[in-house]
Amino acid sequence: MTKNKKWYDYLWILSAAYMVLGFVNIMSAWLGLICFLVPVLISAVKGNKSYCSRYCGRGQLFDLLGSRFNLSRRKDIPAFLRSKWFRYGFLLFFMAMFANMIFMTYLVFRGAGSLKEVVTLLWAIRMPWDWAYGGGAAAHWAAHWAAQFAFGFYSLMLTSTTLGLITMAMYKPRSWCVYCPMGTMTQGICRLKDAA
Amino acid sequence: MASIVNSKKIAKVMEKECVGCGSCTKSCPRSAIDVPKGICAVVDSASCVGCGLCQKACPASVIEIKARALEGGGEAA
Repeated sequence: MTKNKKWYDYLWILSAAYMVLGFVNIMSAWLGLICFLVPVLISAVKGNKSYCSRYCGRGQLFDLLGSRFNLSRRKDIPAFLRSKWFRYGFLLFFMAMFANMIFMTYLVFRGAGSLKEVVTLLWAIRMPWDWAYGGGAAAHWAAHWAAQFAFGFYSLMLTSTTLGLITMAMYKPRSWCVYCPMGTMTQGICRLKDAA
Repeated sequence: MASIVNSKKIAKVMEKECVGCGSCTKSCPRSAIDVPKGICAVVDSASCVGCGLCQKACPASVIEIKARALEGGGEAA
């Protein structure tokens, strides 16, 4: 039995396009906020995680690469990765990195810090593609603080996508979903909403 | 969806460990599993035939295929 494809089954295209667009113009990183706000809104308003099961383009992309293109070993994920300690710990760590990024943006906004046109992987490895920065083009037509946010946010998205691809290859296609900070957060919101 | 009375197997979710990602809901050909409250997956025992597709799809490996409990309290062979 096959299910009819719906429009939202193709959102993986947007996720893939997002990662490519970031190489071309860093300011497109702002679009990634949709992936932060929509799941929180859905869980807070509707009390479910339909974003994860239906609308998450990244999850679909991992499913496609892992299942259809056979890039996953399809092994069970280690128990510690699905433990509450790891999941909530990773959420806290991710939120701390997000808060740090916001603070950097604030410093640039206030003029207390200069724009750092750099994309980093895993918060430490500087990416070598200078052309993604447009030779400072982003800063020419956008406010410096907006560009700073874009660099920080794209770094976050690139890091999480890379982690997702690694666990996709090592374990099951959607292993990222097990410790995805947004998934953990929305599940927590749903728990609170259910308990209320 | 009509209930399957001759299926000897059924999917069981380890509720406390389920992350509620919904990967199982997409894989189920009978729409017999859902994450209704966004907390953990719930199996509709009347529709589940224990095919194991949800088990394969579950990234957290928290779904097991078990023998369906019989009305008399025992388990199907």
